[in-house]
Amino acid sequence: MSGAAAILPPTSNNAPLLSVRGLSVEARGPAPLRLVDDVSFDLPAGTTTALVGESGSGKSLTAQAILGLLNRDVYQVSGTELTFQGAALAFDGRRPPKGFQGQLTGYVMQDPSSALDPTMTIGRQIAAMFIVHRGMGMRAALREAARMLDFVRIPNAAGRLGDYPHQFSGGMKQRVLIAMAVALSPRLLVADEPTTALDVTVQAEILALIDDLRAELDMAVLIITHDFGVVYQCADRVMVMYAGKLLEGGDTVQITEQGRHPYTRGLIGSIPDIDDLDRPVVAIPGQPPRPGTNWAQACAFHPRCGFTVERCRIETPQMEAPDARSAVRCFEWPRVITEARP
Amino acid sequence: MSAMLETRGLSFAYPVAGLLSSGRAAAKALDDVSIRVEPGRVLGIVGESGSGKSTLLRAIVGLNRSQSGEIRYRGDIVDHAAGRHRLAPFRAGVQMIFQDPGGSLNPFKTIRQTLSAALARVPDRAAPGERLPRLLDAVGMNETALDRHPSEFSGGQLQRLAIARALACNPTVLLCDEPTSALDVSIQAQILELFLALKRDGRAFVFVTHNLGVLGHVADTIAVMHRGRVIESGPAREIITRPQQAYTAALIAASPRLANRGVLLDNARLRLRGTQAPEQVPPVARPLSAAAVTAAAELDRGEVLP
Repeated sequence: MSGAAAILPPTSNNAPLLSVRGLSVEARGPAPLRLVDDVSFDLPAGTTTALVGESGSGKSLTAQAILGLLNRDVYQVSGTELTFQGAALAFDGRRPPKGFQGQLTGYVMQDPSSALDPTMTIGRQIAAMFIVHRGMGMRAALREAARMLDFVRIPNAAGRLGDYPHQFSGGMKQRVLIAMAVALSPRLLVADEPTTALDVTVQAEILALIDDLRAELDMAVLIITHDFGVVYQCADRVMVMYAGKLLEGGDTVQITEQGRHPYTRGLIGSIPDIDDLDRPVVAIPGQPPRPGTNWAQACAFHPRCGFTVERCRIETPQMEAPDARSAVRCFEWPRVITEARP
Repeated sequence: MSAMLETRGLSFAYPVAGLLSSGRAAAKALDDVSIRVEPGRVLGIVGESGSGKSTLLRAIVGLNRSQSGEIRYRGDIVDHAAGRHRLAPFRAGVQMIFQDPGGSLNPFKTIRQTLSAALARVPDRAAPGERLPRLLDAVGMNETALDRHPSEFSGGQLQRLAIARALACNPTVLLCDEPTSALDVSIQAQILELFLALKRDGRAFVFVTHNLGVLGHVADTIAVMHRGRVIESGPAREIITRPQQAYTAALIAASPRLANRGVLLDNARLRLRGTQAPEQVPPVARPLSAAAVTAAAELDRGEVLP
């Protein structure tokens, strides 16, 4: 749909582990809803990329589409290119190749309580990874499970294999999910709002754990969040998503300090900054649009934007790359960066 | 200024049921908690899960009983065992807002039904037809919301509607239990603006959250809770910029921030290692104070259940 548009450039020199071009996800039905629209990016190996946006922006759907987790009866996934470690993956119809889910990629869900089976011990749930993918017997798999629990810094790991999920706190359950996701040393770990339900102290520990595992296993990490504070502290690169489209992306420090898109600036301005209590918290006015709203003839953010001009109402901006480290989808970005930061 | 709402020496323990529990003393969920909030002021209460901050709000409104200590509203002792009639001023004057707005609105009723029911509890000469639009206007919504059901709204809109219902009886105190924790950061900012506007009307707030950054921007005073006790309290700015307790310092260090990149993870690593082998703590760019590390090591992280 937008062949000439710039692709979000990788900030890293590493070869891309994953390349996505023109990814779209539609909810099937009499009136199909386009929930993810023409998303293109690369994920470099060994680095952390954050995908940030409000609820309903399509960030989880993007990740699940890449991992082949979407129900094809409900969603139609399409695109021009999806390659992982140089091999092309199919967008639609077929299941991903054996070993893609679990061995090459790991997925950590937002709510650890509903992701774990309450009737099964923690040990058996982790062991299942080794039984299913490696063909191990229960005994050997449980030994591996204990090793994984220890790997995610759970004290007395072997002694807790027989515990059930309800005996673990929220932070520990999230560690168990991470243990399962990295059990087979995947190349890519996708963490979908892994800390939203947790206390700040536990959140910091989980984020530090994910970063330690990334370094130890040399994984790429895609972390989905709505908190720019988390992005700034954890991610090398950031992609900002709104109404199914990427609006901006690139180097985290550059985007945080000198973002070009008014939406990015709005997200950052709405954070209550604990280091600057005099800076007012400025809300983005209005509500995010209903998922699936057709923005073929306008910028999706223009109803909430302070920089809107006539062109924003009648034409969809394309992604452009003003420098080698970032890209932005906004007609008015030169005007945005000349205005002083609040 | 006299307090709008205060507690003095409030204590509460959850009853432990079961055959084996008779000899076991239940841990106190609230231990000698004294707080106060004046009209037009926001008292922030911060702490981790299990620190007792929600229990405190529930004890104030009478959802948790069998406590010692006293609760005073406008100077008068509140007796939750008293009859409906005597409690009526307190129940209208002190309203609660919960974390999950979806769970606090009846999914089968339209917004009109929910808000009308709340308005009907308070005598007012104006007809409900006039009061409903005023109520919605106060929370930044309009009449198009009235004939819809909760499932048709986003989380931020639902929280506005839950606030509208709380405002229906024109309360003087709003008790807010993590009112923005389930919302996007951008929507949280809208709700905080709404609270600040209501505060200018002279309403008092008790605002419970685990996010110290939020309190830095809305609270006048902050009380830090840990294991059922208030371990530190004072002016909000002072607590955040010059915390006296190491526990408070650890909470501040764990807040995601837009400065000192990497310090969040470094502090977390430091803390994790501090609990295991303090002598192996590596140097970091901007470390916590020595006192904070020591206390972090002693923190009850709530991670290991008995």
